[in-house]
Amino acid sequence: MLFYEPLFVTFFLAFYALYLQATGALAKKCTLLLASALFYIWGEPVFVLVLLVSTAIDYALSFHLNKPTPERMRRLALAAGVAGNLGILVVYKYADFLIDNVNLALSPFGPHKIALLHPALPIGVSFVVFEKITYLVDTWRSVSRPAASFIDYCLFVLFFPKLLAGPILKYHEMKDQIAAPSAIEWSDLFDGFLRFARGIGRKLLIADPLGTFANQIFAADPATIGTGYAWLGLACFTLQIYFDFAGYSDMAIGLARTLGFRLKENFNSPYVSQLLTEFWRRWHISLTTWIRDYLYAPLGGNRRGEARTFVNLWICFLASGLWHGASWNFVLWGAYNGLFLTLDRLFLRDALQRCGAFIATSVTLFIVVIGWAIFRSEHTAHLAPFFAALFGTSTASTALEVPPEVPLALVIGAVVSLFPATRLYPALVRLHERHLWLRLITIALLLVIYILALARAFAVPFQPFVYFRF
Amino acid sequence: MNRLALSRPVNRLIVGALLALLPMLSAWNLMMPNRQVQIGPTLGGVTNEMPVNFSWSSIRDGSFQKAIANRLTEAFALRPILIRINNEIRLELFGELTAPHVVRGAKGQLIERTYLDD
Repeated sequence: MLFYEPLFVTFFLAFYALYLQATGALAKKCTLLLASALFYIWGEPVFVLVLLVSTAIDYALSFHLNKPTPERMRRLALAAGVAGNLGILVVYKYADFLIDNVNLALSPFGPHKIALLHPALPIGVSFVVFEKITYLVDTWRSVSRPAASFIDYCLFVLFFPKLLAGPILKYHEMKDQIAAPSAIEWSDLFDGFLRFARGIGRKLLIADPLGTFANQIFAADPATIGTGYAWLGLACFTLQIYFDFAGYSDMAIGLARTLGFRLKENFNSPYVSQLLTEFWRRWHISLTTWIRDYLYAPLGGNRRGEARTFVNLWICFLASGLWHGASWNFVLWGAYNGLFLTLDRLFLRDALQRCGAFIATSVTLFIVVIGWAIFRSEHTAHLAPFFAALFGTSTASTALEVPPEVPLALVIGAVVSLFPATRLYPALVRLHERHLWLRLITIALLLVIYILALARAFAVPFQPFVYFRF
Repeated sequence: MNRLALSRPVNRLIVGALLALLPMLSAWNLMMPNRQVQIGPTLGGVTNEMPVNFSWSSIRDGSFQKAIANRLTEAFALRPILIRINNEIRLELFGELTAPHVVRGAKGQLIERTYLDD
């Protein structure tokens, strides 16, 4: 269920009218849990059972992760919990990828093949599994105690605003808000709504029109598209993936805020980064910090010398690539990022810092955009001809029809993404904080954006969020 | 306590009732298809109604959810005005005609294709 579907709008309003009347913590949690469970059952009526059983196992294990339990038992419980959660990912997301590669490796030895399982990928499974792991690890690290009740933990897992595509919550950051949901103030309602309006505008008015054209380019035979179209398609995808995912995050953060919950930010103007390292501090922040806290740090981080730091970075980015999807393209994309992060540490950071902000931002953006070409290609065989089209070695001259809304969405998207890199931006932020009339204009603009986006949602077939696939 | 604070039960009740208006209108439209309350111009197009088949297999394959979502979309009271806004903007900004059987004639006049075919 998408957050801007009439079905969601109708049920959310009805649910919110009820939720407002709940005063006690238990009543709030039960209402919220019921709504969250219904929301997930609607989309995943079968997988929800797997999720509930796995949630119950986590909860039971968490009582054996704390200090009074002997160390060996604690480690065993943690390993069982983490393995169980990763097992869900392996079965639903990677099984066919693994079988496919085993079949390929065994093909010289005979025609026998292992049959593919074709499991349907449950929506949000990659996000939920990572969140569940934070509960186990946080409890094991004694950063937090086991959840006060099973309801609390279920609510952490199923909390519907973040359920489908994050932001990936960490248990220790959410436990207090979940244990005692705060009373809703007017500011929660208004700020949450305005944040939601920004998100729906980003998704429907920028990401979706650009996505339609990007899909057309990436679905075409790269040998038939000219250099200009290849770059236009890639530029469209570069903005689509940002506005789509940041838009979803805005909607999730906004919805949670209307319910009195504060979620951490997931994006911070990533395309203005002057280094790839900086880009990864600004893009999908909840995943990057998850990898830092729950993978990079346990591997030793940068505490074991330069060579080991590079190895750790590569492991983390290969894992990040694989997290996005079971395909060699994503592994390659992870390796590509690992390579440039290594180069950043070796010399690129110093070189770019000497070049000035404009060149540093342009070079970083170029590296990111080329990375998106790897990310977006459906299979590795698409890459070579697509890069040939990008860098002008293809002779194709097929004319494609560019939908009329694409140029406008592209310009607005580029301006919005890159404006924070200009000197005007901090001045405008200060003015905005100082003058009420500017804030009122922003509110009016967001209201118009909300209406326009909702109008588009009713008229154009629904396009799911890019990150729902992961 | 601030008289307007949302923590006051009476304020929460008023806000809740206002928010529930739209879902209640949708419920009314679903139950009273002949006396629907729709805000905005009457829509010319006709949508094929998917049958709502409540069974475990239809829930599992998502067809039940899709049928319910379609019914609710049709019953949404603001749907006509929202579609009108979208069509108007696409025509004004991009010159795009969203109605499938309408073409643009001389001086930007919109004509139904059936008249031309006749």
